[in-house]
Amino acid sequence: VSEPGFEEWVAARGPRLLRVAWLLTGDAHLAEDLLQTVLARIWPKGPRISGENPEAYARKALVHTHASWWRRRWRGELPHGELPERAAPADRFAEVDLEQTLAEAIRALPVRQRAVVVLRYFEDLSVAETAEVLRCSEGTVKSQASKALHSLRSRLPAAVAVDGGDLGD
Amino acid sequence: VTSVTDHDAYGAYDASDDSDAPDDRIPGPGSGSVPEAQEHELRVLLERAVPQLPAPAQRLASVRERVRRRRRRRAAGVSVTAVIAIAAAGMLLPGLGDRDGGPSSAASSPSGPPSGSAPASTPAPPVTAPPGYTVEPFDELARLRVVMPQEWNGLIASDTPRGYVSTQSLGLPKGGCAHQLDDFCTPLDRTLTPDGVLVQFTLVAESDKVGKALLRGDEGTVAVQQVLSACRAVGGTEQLGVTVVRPPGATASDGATDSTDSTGPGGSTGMPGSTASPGYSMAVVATACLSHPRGAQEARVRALLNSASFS
Repeated sequence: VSEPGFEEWVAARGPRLLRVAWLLTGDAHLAEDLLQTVLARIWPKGPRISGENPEAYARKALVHTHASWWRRRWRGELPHGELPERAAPADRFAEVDLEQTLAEAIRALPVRQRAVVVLRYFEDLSVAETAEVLRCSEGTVKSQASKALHSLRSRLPAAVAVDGGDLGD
Repeated sequence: VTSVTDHDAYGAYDASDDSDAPDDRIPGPGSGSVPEAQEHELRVLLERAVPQLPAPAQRLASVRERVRRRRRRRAAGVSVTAVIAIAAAGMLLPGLGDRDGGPSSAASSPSGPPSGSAPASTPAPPVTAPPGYTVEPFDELARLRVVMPQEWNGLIASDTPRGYVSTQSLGLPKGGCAHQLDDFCTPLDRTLTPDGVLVQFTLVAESDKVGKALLRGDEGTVAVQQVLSACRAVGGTEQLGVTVVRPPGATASDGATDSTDSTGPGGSTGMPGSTASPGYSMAVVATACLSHPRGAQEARVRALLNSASFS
């Protein structure tokens, strides 16, 4: 990303990257903080990564920066069995309820499984691409994805329906 | 649409068994097998449920500021490394080797000059700071000197023998810092942000009641402490401390030394700019309150605490 085009690139791809960050952190404020941290790292490296896919570079940086936050445990997250406040199950709150339910389920995943879910099922990366980003084997990606799906299936209630189906049994 | 492995997708199958598994993307529900359909449903769910968050108006300004800070920290990091290396060699700061490695010479050898300190008639060498750092002078605290990053802030609480340095802007509260919870004043304009630091330096006399309460046995060694309520109240999550004992006999005004013993009864209460009463030593208790510090920041604070010395 060259410096002149940085702002345009952020304007164009920022919303998507922010959603990736939200999935990794489960929190809007942490997501913005994570994204800004990554953008601050990308900006000075613009000329050096101009030959690469900048979005892929940013995605990789998001995952690894979040993992480093997790290891250092300064992220400020507190483990909760449930979110302290939940929307009423009324129709007009359905979207908020869905978002909170998903955030709760995602945050319950170990950090690596969370990264696999984001890369495989939100960013639609292949197994090989996911393995490359996470610097692990393809088999590990598959097993982590399997465990994550199993965990999500148990945490997302049947009421969270998708196109008539759901992730529950 | 790609094929599905023979494994149960929800079983924790052995990763080594997947060498022949297809490297697949699954754009649609596929042939209706349970794992494939559920993967598709998860994709749809994520796309639907992950919120479209608004971008803050000042995002790019914040990013620019972070870039500037990173550059400063990178420069400072080199300097911190240099400070630690030099200090460890005992070349920059007198008595530092004692504080890092064991009991201070002043505490363990109260009747004699500490090893590494200047001879009785020789003033201590001036403390110098590497590039990117500055020496914060606390003349009111028996001429304490602290090496800190240039962008940090310093403050002296004139109503008490206390000094402060912080990553954030400082301002004395109404009523000053004389009567504070836990004897830890927090003259911050705002609570600590993540990675923020506030350090309090309190001048105490060895015989002073407050001094005795503050002296927690950390003489000479930077130690992790239990987080005080006052620290926690401003967002602190970790606390470090060290007690820097002024070499016995040194005067607060000019750094000269005398031959008195530091273990005698009674003593000065350590008023600003005071001279040590004969027979009593003085010390500075340094307490650092840190909010979710990163590794580099904690190392920076330890270096700062280790740099505290009397000129």
